[in-house]
Amino acid sequence: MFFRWILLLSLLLLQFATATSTLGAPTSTEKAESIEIQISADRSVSVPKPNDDFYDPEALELAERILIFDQRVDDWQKTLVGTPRDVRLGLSDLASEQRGIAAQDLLSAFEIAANTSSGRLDAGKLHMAAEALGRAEWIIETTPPATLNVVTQINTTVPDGVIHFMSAKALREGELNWKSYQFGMHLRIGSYVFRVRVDGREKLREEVLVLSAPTVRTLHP
Amino acid sequence: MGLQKRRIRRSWEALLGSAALACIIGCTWNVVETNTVTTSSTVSLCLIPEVVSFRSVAGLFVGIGNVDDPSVFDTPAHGLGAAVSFEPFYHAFKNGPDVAHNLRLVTDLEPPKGENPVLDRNLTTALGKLHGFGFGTKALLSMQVDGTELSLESDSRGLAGEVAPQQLQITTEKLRSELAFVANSIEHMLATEELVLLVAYISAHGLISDDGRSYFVAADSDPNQPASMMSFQEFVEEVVKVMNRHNTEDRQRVVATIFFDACRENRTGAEPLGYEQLPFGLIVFESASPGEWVWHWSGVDTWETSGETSERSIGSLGLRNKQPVNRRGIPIESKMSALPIAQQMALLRSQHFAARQGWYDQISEHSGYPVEELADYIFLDDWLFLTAPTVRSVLDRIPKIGGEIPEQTIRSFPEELEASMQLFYAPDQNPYFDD
Repeated sequence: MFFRWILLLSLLLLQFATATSTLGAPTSTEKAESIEIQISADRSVSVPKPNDDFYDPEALELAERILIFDQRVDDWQKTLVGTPRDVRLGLSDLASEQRGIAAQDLLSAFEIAANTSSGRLDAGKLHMAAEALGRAEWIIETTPPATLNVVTQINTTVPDGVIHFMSAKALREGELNWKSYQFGMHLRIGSYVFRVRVDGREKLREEVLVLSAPTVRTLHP
Repeated sequence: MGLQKRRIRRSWEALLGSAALACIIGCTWNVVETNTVTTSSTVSLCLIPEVVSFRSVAGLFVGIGNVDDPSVFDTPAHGLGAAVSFEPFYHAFKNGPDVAHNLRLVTDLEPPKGENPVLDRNLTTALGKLHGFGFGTKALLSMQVDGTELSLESDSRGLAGEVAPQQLQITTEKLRSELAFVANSIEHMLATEELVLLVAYISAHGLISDDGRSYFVAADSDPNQPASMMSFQEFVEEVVKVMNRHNTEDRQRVVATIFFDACRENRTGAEPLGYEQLPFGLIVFESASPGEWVWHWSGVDTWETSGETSERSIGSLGLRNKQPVNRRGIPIESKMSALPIAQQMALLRSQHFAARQGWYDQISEHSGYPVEELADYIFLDDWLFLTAPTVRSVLDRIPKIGGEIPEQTIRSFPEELEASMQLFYAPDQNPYFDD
């Protein structure tokens, strides 16, 4: 009896952990005039369809992709049943994070259009939203790694280039905690920004999704 | 810096600037003499009393919000910005003791039609409605309309003024022709006036194109085709032509202040180009630096979210304190041009022209300074100091885009004036917050 209660409690806890750490909260809704992309419990962005003042084909395409992404997530979660729990949760968090960045950047593009004299959605924010969404889509399409930490093989074609890296999320939040990178390092799955410096001067910076084992990337100027 | 120190500094500046003031009042602004005036005194004595209280002003205030290109969003902010900027000059024209103004307000903002509960019932004319729509009611502006036809053209002083609220498409050519019209009016004014100040305020969508120049997006502009737009540089060159036509080395008869209130988004990453050498007597203000956006501020948001405190803030800004509605009476998001320049004009009005009508009380309440200490606040530095908290509170409401703090830096040319236009710097770098 006691073990049955323990088992039941464990299952409940597992369900709770899954619900809170995956893509359950933010969703998308398609309406006649717009697509509503939820960013958090109290924030959303409404992406208009044609004939609205703020209609933008690129933004609408992004919203449609997020809509499809949100619909695919549940099925994707089911495919992870045999995956180690820490990997499953890590993947879910990562996909959720990238989807959230895409939605936030989409909102920012509209805020700039609505609140400044630029007269248009910000192309830079739309581009960043598309890149983040691309990463989110790739996460749910790629074969999950066997472990939470994967080997990375990042190098650069920049002569005498020194590579540093840090969490993309931390960088977005204003931290500047760069770490030295060594070829073959194991990193937790996630999105990282790598930079290449020569004689103390930055030559390039690139965001890399560390997911595959190994994650291989050559940084070009 | 405390109030006492500020007063000492102000006295010092006034002393330094007295030569410039004397030159302006005496209408003999000699190039050689005034070049020796220090930077700070030039700012203090040029912008506040001289620009807005100038005896003879040829003013052009343009707001372009409607653009044919479907990829460019329309906005009422620019028309409102033009109206806000126009008003202090108009107010001076109506109430000043001895002024000769020739003002043109050109906006594509369609004034609301029909019964509008927000507007004062006495604002019956198109102009009155435009004013009411743009920045408040009679109570805020102390406008003496009283139900009578408000017409600049029929003013007893016989001076021309024009408002074109029905002009819903302001093309690049229209912009050029408006500038030419003002230039022509200066010719007429100089027949009786010794010195004329040309004031131009242009609010529109803006961008830096691939040739590095900054452009306005007019109604018929293609943002990808520089030839279809008017550049800041072209506008400045036209003003310089007017100045050169009338000014000699010995005698300055036309001075000019240009306000560009437009975005400077650099869409191609081109190296931004500056202006050619500006002649003495011309000051150009830009409400955003290259690569920056001009942020609008929604009075509606402020009203709804901040309650009574914001009502006072809006009042001290000279903006409306009620929610605007569209033609069908449905509340709309009316965006005010947030400072930049239009807002500063509104602030200026509230302090400079409404001082005798109880506005010091509001400013005092807002700033915390006793009314008696405000009486001689007429210099730019003081004005910035007093209004900085209001502007900062507006800036605080600008949405933080994706974790980035949007920057907007006003610049002036000649550049040495820039030191006095730092409202958009971070508070800890802003000399007006150093108390």
